Amino acid sequence: MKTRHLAIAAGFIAAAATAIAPAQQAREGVAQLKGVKGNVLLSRQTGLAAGGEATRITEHTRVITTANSEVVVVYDNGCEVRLKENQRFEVEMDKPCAALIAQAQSVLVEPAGTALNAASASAVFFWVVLPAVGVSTLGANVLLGPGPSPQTLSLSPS
Amino acid sequence: MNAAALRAGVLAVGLLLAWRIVQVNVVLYDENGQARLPATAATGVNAPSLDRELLHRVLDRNPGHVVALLHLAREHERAGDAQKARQAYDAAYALAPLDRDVLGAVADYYLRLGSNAEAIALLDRLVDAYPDARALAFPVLGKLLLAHAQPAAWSAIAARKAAWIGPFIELSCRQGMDPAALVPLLLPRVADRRAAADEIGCIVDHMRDADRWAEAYQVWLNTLPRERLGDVGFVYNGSFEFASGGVGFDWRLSRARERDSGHVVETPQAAGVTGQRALRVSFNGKRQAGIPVMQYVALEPGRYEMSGLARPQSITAGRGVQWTLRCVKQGQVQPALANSERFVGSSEWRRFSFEVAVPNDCPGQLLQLEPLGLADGTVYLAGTAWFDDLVLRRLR
Repeated sequence: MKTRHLAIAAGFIAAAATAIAPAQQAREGVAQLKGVKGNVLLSRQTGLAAGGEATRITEHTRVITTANSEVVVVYDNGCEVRLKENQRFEVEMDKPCAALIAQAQSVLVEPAGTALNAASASAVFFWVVLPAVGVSTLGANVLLGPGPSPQTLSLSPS
Repeated sequence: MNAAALRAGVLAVGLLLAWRIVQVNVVLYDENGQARLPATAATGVNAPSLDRELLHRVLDRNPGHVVALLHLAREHERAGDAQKARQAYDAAYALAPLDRDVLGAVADYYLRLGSNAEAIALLDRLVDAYPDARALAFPVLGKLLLAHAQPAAWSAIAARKAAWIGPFIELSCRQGMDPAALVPLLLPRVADRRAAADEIGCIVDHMRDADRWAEAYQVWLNTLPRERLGDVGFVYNGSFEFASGGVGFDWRLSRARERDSGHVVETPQAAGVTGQRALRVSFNGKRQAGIPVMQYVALEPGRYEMSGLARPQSITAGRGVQWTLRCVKQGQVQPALANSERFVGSSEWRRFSFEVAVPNDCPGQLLQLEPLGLADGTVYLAGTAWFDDLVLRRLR
C-alpha cells in the first residue's frame, strides 16, 4: 500500500516536472516575436526555420521576413524592433534600443539607378536614361526595326 | 548600213521604253497605280526628309493615312514645330492606337520628349500586342526600369499581370541588367505562381555570381512555398523528401544522359532512412563526367559540422566518392574547405560527419558529391551510393 502511494506521488511529481519544464524553456532567450504576419524565419543551429507568434529568441538569432511579411521583435526589457517585408535583424543585447531599431535592414538592395533618382530626380534622366534616349534618337526605325513595313505610303501618279 | 543603224536605234529605243515601263509599273508605282514612297521603317531622325506638301496631298486624299501622319509628325519635329508634331503624332495614335508602327513611333517620340510615363504606357502596349517588337523595345524598357522612371507606371503594368513581364525579366537578366531592379517585377509573379524557373534561376544565379549571396538567398527564400519554409536549414531538403527544383539554393541533380555522365541521380523511396526518400547515385562503371549532385549554401563565417547517412553499395572501380564543401567567389569554385570520408565498397546505412571552418573571405559555398580524382583526370566508377539526412549544424 505504501509502495502504491509512493508510486502515485512519484507520478504526480513527474507530471508536474514535465509541465514546468516547457514553461522554463519558454522563458529562455531575451526576446520574443509579436504580430507575426506572413513568413518569419529564425536562424537556428541547423539553419533557418519558421518562427511563430510568441516564439522566444536567444541572443545572436537572426530574424528574417519574406515578401508581404512583418513581425515585431519584443525584447524582455520592452524594446520593440519592427521588421517590414524582406528585412533582417540580428538580436543583440549590448546596444541601446534606438540602435537596435535602426539595425533592421532590407536584404534586397535597391539598384543604383534608384538611389540616384532619390538623390537627384532631375539628374536621373541625363545620367541614366540618356543611353536609352540615345538609342531612341536613332529614330523610330530603332524601335520599329528594319525591313519593309506592311503599310506603304502611297500617292497617285496623276 | 543605214538600215542596220536604224534597226539598232529602234532596238535601243525599245529597250529604253521597256526599262521605263518596268521602272514605272514595278519600281515607282504599285499594282494600283499608287506611287511607292519610303515605308515607316524609315521614319526616324536619320530618315531622308519627305516633302511636306506631298504628305499633305496624301492626307487630303486619305486623312486616315496614319503612316503619312507619322511622316508628317517626323517632318514637323525635324523642323522644330513641336506643336504640329505633337498634333500629328496624337492624330496617328487616335486613328490607330494598336498599330505596331504607330505605337513604336509615338513611344519613341515621347522618349525624345522625356515623357517617360507616356512612353512606358505605349511600349507596354507595343510589346504586349507585338512579341516580335520585344527584342527592340525591351532594352529601352530596361533602361527606364533601371532609372526608376515612373514607378507608378511600372506598378500598373505589374498589377495588370502583363504577359510580357516574364520574358522581359529573363531577357533583361540574361543581357546583364542589375537583377535587383528586376526583383520587384519578379516577386508578384512568384506570389501568383506565374514565375518561371528560368526567371528565378537567372536572377538568383546572377546575384550569387556577383557575390551578393544574401540578396540571392532572400530572393530564393521568397520563391519557396510556405510549407517549405518551416525548416529551410543550411542544407535545404537534406532528407531528399521533396523533388528538386534545381534552382537557387535547392539541390541540383545532374540531368546529363547516363552515357555522357556515367551516372544516374535519383531520389527514390528507400527503406531504413529518415522520411520516405533518399538520394541514390548509380555509377555505371564507365568514365565519369561532371558532378552528380550539388547545392549552393550560404554559411556565415564560423565552424560547422556536416553530417548525414550513407550506404555505399559495391563501389568498386575508382577511389570512391566524397562530399566536399568549397568556397565560391565571383562565381568561381575554390579549393575544398573540407570533405567527408571516402565512400567505397559496401556497408549498411551508417552515419558520417566532418567539420568545416568557413573563413571570413568565403561569401558563399558549394556542397557537392565528387568522384575522387575527377579534377586530376579520368575517373571510372561502378556501384551505387545512397545518402540521406544531410545536415549542417553550427558549432559554438
